[in-house]
Amino acid sequence: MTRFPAQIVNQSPHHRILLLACFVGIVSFAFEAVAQNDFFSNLDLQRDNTLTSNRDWQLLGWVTEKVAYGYESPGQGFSRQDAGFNKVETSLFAQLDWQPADNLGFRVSAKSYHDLVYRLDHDTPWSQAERRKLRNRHEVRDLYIESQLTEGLYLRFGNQIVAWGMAEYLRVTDVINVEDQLTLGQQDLEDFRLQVPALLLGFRSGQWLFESVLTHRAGTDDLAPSGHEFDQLIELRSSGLHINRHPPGDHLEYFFRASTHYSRGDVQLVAGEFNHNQLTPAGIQTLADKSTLLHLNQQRMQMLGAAANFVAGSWLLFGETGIHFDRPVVPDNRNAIVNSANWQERNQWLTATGAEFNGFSNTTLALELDSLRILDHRDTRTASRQQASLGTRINWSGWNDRLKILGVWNYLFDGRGYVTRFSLDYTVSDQLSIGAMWVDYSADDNSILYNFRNNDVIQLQLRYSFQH
Amino acid sequence: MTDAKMKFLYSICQTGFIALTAVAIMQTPAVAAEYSAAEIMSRNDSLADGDTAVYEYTMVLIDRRDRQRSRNLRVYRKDYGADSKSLSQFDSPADIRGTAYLNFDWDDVERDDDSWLYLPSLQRVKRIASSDTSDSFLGSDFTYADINGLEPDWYDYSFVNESEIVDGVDCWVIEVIPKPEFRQRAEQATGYAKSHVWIRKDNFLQIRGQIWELRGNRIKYFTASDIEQIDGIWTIKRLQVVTTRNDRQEHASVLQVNNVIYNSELDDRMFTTEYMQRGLD
Repeated sequence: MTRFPAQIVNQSPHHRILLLACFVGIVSFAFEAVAQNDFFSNLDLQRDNTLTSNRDWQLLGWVTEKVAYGYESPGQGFSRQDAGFNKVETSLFAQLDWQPADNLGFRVSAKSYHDLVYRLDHDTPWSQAERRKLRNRHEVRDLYIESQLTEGLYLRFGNQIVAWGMAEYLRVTDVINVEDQLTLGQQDLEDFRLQVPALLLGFRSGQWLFESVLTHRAGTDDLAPSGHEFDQLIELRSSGLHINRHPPGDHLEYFFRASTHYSRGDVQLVAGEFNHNQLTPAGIQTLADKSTLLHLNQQRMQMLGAAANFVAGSWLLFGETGIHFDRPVVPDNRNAIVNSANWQERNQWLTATGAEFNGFSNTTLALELDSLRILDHRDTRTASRQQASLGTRINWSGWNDRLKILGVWNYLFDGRGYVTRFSLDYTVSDQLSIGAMWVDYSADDNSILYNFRNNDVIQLQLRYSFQH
Repeated sequence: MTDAKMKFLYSICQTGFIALTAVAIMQTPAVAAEYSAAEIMSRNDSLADGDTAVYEYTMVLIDRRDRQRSRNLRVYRKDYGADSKSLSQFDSPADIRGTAYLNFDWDDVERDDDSWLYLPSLQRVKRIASSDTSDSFLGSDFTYADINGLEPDWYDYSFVNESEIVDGVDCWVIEVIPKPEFRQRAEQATGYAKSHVWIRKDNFLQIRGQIWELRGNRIKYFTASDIEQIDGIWTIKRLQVVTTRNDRQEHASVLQVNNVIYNSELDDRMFTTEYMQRGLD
């Protein structure tokens, strides 16, 4: 902004000469020192920033380039066995919204990836064509129609995310959508939950909102493929087991939620019958060639839960609790995954309690304590009856929101490992942002994270956003 | 919107979330001697703004190198007696499009606002606690305290100048300083030491403000311009704030009203958490 110092032109001729002399030598000082009142003048805007249209459709998206370097050696069994680049990925996300009528809308979004150094070159049985397929992934994300059918009745049908609950680290009632676990702890925000085919009906009656969700073929968490450095089945594969994934016996899942709010707080009551989003061992079979076949399936479960929160000044306190009926019990160590071919099913009580504090300038601090209690706990080979985990987060933004810093530390349920994530994001312009991220994994040899303890990574990112 | 909160004391945004159109039914031209400084501020505070309002804004953020970023948003506000509910939805830029903020502003000063945030990246509604009110609002030079308003009873008012012509209009210039007994609360809520405000004599509209921050030797300059009557309500269509440090411009924000509709029918359904996550307008 160039501003003419108003007080200069109001001086006498003599003073003008003196001031002009000063003006030559100390231009910037003179401008700033005498221009105080001029800060009321209108600033020039570089372009027309206003909304240009009220179209019934909107397209937005972004192109992201990520370069990640794993600075430790994951070790035997993984396709990347030494320190090196593990990601040079270009991705494109696009989303189209169309609202042809006031009470009718459509959304479709998709994401495509191309990873230049996808680590499947070494010691893996993949063909060139299969590697190419894994390097180039294409995913339909949202694909739904929504409508306000009557004054109180709302419908959404199609591939969608339905995020319930209040906890961030423990899925107590937030169990409708599956997760992207391709790179544990490194996902973008929009990839934490993945869309599933569902019918959502919502009905408001006074202060209460009632919602029911029916899903069909929701699938399982998105796991890394064989040989990938986050291949969660790598231990099974390395032990020579063949793996057979079975579809669930019932593809339909049902969920119901009643929610309301009161002064300074919210309450949710949730129930559901669904398939566990993770695959668990269901049996072992010895084949004719003496090899062993491990059967994996999704356990059918039921859930009853409740969540509530409360605001007190700069504090947000929240709690979420629920019983998962017939939830598989994780064996007590890595070897048991192989040894225990049929995981036990036990009723388990999950609880998350936490607090968030916004009282410091431009800073949010969050703490969440989670617990899992196995009811009717009998087998000492399984995990402890009572387990606890801890999640902490700090967000800070500054420089007029150009710079954002996020730190997360998550101490895992088995008590033998944790994940630390630290990221910086800087907004260069409305379209362009750059970022850096460091993720550190720590685990002892009984932790479920043990195989990935050397997958620490530093990642740089550039994102270009567009909108029409 | 509560009348207990001062409009444009530190800004003219007052729907609980950037309802910048501080507004006034046309008033009879006033005579300075008829009013005390406190009465003038009270008249400014009680300006009418419609039972409902729909605003379309553009907020432009300007850094010291004159690099500009912009955000487009829509704000829906509806009064429920002395209480008020507002929904703010961001249309651009792409990375925050769909972000929505729902706020219930209660007339009872002892009752905290109820607020929820919807983040499209997570597709999840989350209740939020009130931030440090002296924090920057969305990276702008406005603070949450500027936007939400303040308690008029916390301040003393006195004339700096009983007549000053600004853009051809006669104004009062009033100094606003926290009362000693409320100084700590006021300073904590705003981060401001004192302010000067320029009030038009013809309609009690505030068109300028100069605010001294407590820290960093910073001064903010508020300027309202492009003022017109819409549906009989005076509407400020351009609000600018320049933050200076040691008399040098550090950052600036311009808030433009692209469109505003007063007293239209707004369905109560719009002010619910489920509405925030739906794509239906």
